Amino acid sequence: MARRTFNLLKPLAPPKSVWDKVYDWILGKARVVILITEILIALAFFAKVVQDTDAKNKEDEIARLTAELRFYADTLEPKFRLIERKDQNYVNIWNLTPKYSEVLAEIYSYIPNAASEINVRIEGARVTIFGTEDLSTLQVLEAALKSSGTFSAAVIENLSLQQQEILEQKGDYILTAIIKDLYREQL
Amino acid sequence: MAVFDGAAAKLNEYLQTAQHRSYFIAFVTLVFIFIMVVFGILPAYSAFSLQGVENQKRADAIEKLKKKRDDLQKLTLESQQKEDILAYFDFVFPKTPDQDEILNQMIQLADRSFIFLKNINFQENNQLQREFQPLALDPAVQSLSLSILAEGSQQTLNSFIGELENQRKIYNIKNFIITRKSSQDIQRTTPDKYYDLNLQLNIYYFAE
Repeated sequence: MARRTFNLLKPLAPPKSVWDKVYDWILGKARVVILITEILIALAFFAKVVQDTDAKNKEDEIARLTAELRFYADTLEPKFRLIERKDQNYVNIWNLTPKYSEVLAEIYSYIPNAASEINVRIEGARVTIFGTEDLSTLQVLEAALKSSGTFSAAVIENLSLQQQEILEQKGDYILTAIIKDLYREQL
Repeated sequence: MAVFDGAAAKLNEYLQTAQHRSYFIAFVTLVFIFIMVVFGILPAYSAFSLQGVENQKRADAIEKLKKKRDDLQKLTLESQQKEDILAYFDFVFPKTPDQDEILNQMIQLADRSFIFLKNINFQENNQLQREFQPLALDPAVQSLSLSILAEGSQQTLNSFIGELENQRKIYNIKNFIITRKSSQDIQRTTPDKYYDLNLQLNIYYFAE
């Protein structure tokens, strides 16, 4: 009868070769890295599919809008651009156009005597008032222009008195001033 | 093959200690992660992000096109609703100067101000571009100069100037002089004509 033997010791595996270790490593730690990488690549792939679809939809939308705008570009857009140009130039001219009626009314308000020989010349911002006038009236006019907020640099440029005029307290004068705010209300 | 066996033997020898083994595994894992990142994740991310940038450009273009379309639609609707205003704008800033129309308007304004027109003279305005310097006007803007002689009182002449200034058609007064008539002339006329007005103004049109 043959003798039976039982080996109750834990069997000892042979020492692992390099390849065994690499195999273990690939099934162990590397598997996690590969899995994460694959998940990321899959996500990127799906995102790319979504983006490609989105890109195609956007291209279609651009083509549709371009066709729609072509209709306007040939017919209405030039008309609107012309109106815009006209409007801009109109506003520019309007804003650089002076307003004199209020200035003139103010000057006349300083001359109470309707029979006064007063002449007014306005060129740009320069006001010239000239004529023959009673000296006291002239003084009042000069003081009024100097104290007015509408004018600056109000001066009597010339005052000439003839003998007869001295007796009558009258003289020929030229009075000038500069209008401070020349332009009308801006658009 | 002998070289490989030698290297394998050396590696086995190096991996005898637990510390060396953990260093080696960490190193190989890092190299592996690096390779995956460079050859797997980065290309995928790059394709994804590039497409994202392109799509953003398309989205911007769509936004601009939509805005332009909406603006044009709004302008079309507005121009249909405000045809009368556009016609009025063509009147105040016309394509060509209509001298008859200007004369009619001057007569109307004179009547309204109770002054008496004596003479109206039209001239080409050659100073236009210099007039608005440093502002550069569109070359389509053209101008005519008007000289007006009239008589009236201080108030009526001032009222006429005010009327000119209040018009939507631009009458740009360049200069004027209001003079009182001589004593002899005053004796021969009525008080509503004691003063003479000599006025220069420019009118503008847009020669499309």
